Amino acid sequence: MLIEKIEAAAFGPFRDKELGFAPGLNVVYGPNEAGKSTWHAAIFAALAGMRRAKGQPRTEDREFAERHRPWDQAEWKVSAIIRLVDGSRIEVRQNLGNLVDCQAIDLGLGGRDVSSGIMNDGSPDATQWLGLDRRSFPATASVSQAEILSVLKRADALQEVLQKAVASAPADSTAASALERLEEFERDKIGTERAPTRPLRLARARVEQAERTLQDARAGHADYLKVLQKVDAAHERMNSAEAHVRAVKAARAAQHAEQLVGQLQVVDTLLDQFPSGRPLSRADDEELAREVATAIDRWERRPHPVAPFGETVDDLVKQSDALRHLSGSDTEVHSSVQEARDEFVRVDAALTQHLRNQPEGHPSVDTGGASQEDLLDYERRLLRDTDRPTNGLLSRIIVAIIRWFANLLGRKIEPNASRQGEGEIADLRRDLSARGLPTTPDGLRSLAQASAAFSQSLEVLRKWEAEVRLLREQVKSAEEALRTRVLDRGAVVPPEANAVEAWQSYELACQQRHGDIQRLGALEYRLQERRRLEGEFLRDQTTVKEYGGAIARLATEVGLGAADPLAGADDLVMKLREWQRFREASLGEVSASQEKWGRLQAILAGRSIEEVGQAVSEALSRSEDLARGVDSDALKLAMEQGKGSDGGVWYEFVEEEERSARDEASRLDEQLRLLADTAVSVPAAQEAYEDAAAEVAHLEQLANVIRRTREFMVSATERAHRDIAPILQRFIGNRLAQVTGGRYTDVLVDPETLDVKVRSRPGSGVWRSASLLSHGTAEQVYLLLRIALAEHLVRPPEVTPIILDDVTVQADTTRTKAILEMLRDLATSHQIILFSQEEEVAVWAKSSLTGPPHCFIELTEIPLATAAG
Amino acid sequence: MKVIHFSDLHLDAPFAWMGATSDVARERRNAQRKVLQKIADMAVTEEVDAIFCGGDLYEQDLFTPDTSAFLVQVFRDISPVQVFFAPGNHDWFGPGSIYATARWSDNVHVFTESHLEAVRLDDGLTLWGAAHRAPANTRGFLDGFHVVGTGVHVALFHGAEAGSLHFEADGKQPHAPFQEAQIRTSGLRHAFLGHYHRSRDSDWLTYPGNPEPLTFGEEGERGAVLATIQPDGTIIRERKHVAATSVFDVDIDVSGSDSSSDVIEKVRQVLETKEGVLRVTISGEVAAEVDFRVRDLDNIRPLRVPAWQVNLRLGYRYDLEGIAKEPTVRGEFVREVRDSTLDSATKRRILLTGLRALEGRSDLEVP
Repeated sequence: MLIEKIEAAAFGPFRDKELGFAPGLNVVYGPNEAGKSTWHAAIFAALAGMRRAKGQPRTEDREFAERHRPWDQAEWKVSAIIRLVDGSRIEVRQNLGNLVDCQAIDLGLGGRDVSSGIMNDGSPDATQWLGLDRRSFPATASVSQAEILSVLKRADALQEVLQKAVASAPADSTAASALERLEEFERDKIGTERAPTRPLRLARARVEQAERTLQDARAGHADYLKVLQKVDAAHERMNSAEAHVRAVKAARAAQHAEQLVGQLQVVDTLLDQFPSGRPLSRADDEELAREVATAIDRWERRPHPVAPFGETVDDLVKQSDALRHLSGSDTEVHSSVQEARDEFVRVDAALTQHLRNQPEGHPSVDTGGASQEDLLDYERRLLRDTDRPTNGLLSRIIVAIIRWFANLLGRKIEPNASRQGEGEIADLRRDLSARGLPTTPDGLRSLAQASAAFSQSLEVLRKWEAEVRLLREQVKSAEEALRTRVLDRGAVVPPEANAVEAWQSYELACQQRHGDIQRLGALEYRLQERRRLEGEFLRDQTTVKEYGGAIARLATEVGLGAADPLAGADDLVMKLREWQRFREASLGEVSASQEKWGRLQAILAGRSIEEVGQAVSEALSRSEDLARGVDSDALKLAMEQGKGSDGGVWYEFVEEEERSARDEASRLDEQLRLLADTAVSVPAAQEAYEDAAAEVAHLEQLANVIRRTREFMVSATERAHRDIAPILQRFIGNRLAQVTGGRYTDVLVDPETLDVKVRSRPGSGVWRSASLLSHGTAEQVYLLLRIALAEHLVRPPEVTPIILDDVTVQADTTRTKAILEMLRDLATSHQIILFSQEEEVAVWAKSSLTGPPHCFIELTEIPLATAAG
Repeated sequence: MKVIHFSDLHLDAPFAWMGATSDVARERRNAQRKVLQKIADMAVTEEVDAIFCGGDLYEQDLFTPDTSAFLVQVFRDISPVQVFFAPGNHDWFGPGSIYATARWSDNVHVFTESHLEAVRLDDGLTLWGAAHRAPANTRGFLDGFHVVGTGVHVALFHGAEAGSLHFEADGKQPHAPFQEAQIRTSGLRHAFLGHYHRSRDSDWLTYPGNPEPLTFGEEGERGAVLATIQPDGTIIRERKHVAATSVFDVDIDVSGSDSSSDVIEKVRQVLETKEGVLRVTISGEVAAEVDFRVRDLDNIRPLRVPAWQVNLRLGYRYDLEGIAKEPTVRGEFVREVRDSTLDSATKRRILLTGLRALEGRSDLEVP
């Protein structure tokens, strides 16, 4: 396919503009705002048109319209004149405004409309002649600046572009990503048995649950049916038992009525035998006979009164009253008095003992006014003077004793400071002698010792005397206390009596009162006993009188005449016994009449014969009522059964059976009701199960579809890659040396991954990934691949025009030139339209594209008012 | 004598077939009860002498205690109208059946034997009836049978007229099979029957059909039959529509839809005028991009449509012929799938799934 011309009648900012193209390389040069993008879009719109569909347009269609619909008029039209390989020239008119007036006209056939062969979504799509469509054509035939950039920036972009292009013509996605998408879908929307939160596992669990519920529901229904049968049988038994009870009741009523009829006949007969009413009977004087028997018995067991003797009640009362004045006084020593006395005895004894322990006195000593210390001092002085062996042990002991005693008395014995002179000793001896004191050391020592012993005895005596005084005070106090306590107890004590006498008087009074109280108790017992004896005597007298009176009264009643109730009682008793014997003998004659009479009365039971008749009538009526509705055979059987056994027992047995049957029916009714209340609806459970099972079936089918789709996808990918890999390899291989300046000559396209590798020498050297080549080489290899793909993807024998958008913009001058020259070479087999804004491209084109089959087109800037992207 | 004859009500049948939720299914079962109530009411208003039920009144394996109570109540309320039941293979007579255990009122008579038994009706008319006593393998009631006594004899039972098997190919087993000719040769003047859900009348027999729809696609007039049995045995019939539910098939063409919204809108427009239980079939070719699923319709089901079953027969506008020519994975994929031995439905699903995956779409589930 060659594009000869694009006419933009109304497209974006263009009005009646056109752009003609040569069959070779077309360089469309223009600065920014010259309309390159608009012409680019116009080419696609003119060739492929837009889909015509109801409802909301797709996003891409809406964005295309927003960008390229003329702003100032309703019309939106673009057309193209193309030439196909078979030589036909076609004008493709696209009225994008209404999408109705669109058609493809074969200019060589007088304007024949050939739209029908290329209709796509309601409008002609000329790219279909290439085996493409309006979605796949741009991906196949157009290379943008951005794509070149991505190849240069990303190592795997080249491979991805290849994989996308090979996956599908629109190059939406690679087969690998499609497979990933399928796997992801299967994982998320279906899942496996091992994924408990995924739909398939959940659905299976739901089926299992629903199946269990259904089984339970069915089991419950089966249980219900079983119990239902039991209920039915139980009700039958109950009905049968009730019928039986009714039959027995009717039978009993019939028997009762029959019995009453018989009784009525008896009454009728017996009443004839007693026209005057009740016959004589033993019952007539039965009560009198019973009284007589009782009276005789009592009389024979009567008491025999004995009058009491000894002190009378009055005597005893007087004695008792005489002793009662003592009440309220102490009959034994009160504890408070006893405590006071004990205290008095204790302190008195202590005083007596103390007096016995009076200390002995020592004779007094005349020291002539000298103290014990003075005496000892004299002794020492004398001892030093004589230097006699008075300083022996004994002397030292005596001195020590004297000092100890001096200390005890609080006096200080001054030691001799120095030896006194003999004159002083003589003076001392004189002084001693003059004062009548001994003049020898021993005499002085003895005198000092006697003086000390006397002082000590005086001290002991003073202490003893003080203790005597204290004890005497205590004795006096205890004596007062004892006296006071005795008086407090109400004792009468003479004023002159001391405490001991008061105590003795009180104690004696207590003992006397104790004896009186004991005597009063004995008197009261005797008084009580006397009263009892006198009472018994009076009662016995009364009883004998009463029993005798009864004997006399009964004797009168039986016709024995009055008698002295006391004197003649024993006689009357004998007569009454005779009367008893006579009566017993005469009673046998009336017993037969009495029996009949008794029978009659028993039947009548207080009723009149009319009333008995009424009862019979009612019994017959009731019997008829109860027999109504009762099967006659059952009634006969019940009557037979009633005859053969105790009617009451039989009836109770039948009633018990009926009760038991009713209870059983009631129990089963309740069981059935419970089952009914808790029953799960079987159809509902079945519906739930089928719904769950349908979901599982659906997911399994979906899983199968996804699995098979993946299998087909893998297989198709392998095959497509295997097919295209050698084509790409051959296409690039033919041109690799040229675009790499002979550096690389050999190319390999991996059929599995479509990874492109190159090496310097065939059969040797290291394979290098094409993505790792220099940018210039990589972009050329990429363009080669795209053109190779375009050749491959377009349906033969057509060849698609290649439309390039500023693909050299990232290249330096050298690379740009290399690309342009490569494109010019490729343009011998493909129409190539290169949009560029680069000056050097324009310069190259002007000098290199000097004539057919190539063309240089220079666009001018669109006026600002109508400028578009 | 004037009677109402009906059969095959199938109380307590499950309704999973309609994709009904539990509430809707319950509502369907309630509708079945309404039908029975209508028949009972009609018996009173038409002053009939009796109601004949030709079996399959309920589902023995599924019935609820409530159903038993309901049946007793309905027929007790129309006393003294006589009611005759001839249990069928779904409600076969057994010790656990409603027939055996319910406390029927005196106006109800259940045929309980597996051979025809006679009940003397008015005016020299004798009704012969029998019961299925098992869910299967019931022999023909008319085999070796001949009426006894004078007057007009009619029969009531649940059985498959063998000559009718061709007219209802619904997979039913020949329960209690018989030939129409046996009716005449046995001395019967007419047979009131149950079993076939499609109605059928002839001089010798009456199949009333199921009075309430049980599934989709039930064509023809069905319901209760108001029949007058003439003294000479001829029957005057009048069909009575008693269904509480209408069931319809609705086909909706959504061709040309470019989005699921288009599809939903087209379905909504059609459903505006519909009511009853529907089986909706949505068909037509839509754009390849359309991602439509049945549950998209959940919000547009009219209240007048208590339940529906939606079937999708959508085609998607892929140029499979063109794609198959592509020298791409996509083309190879289409070619391989089309060349496979899979069934056409599976092929279609795999093709659409694969193409959508290649387009980068996530709606890979194809209805």
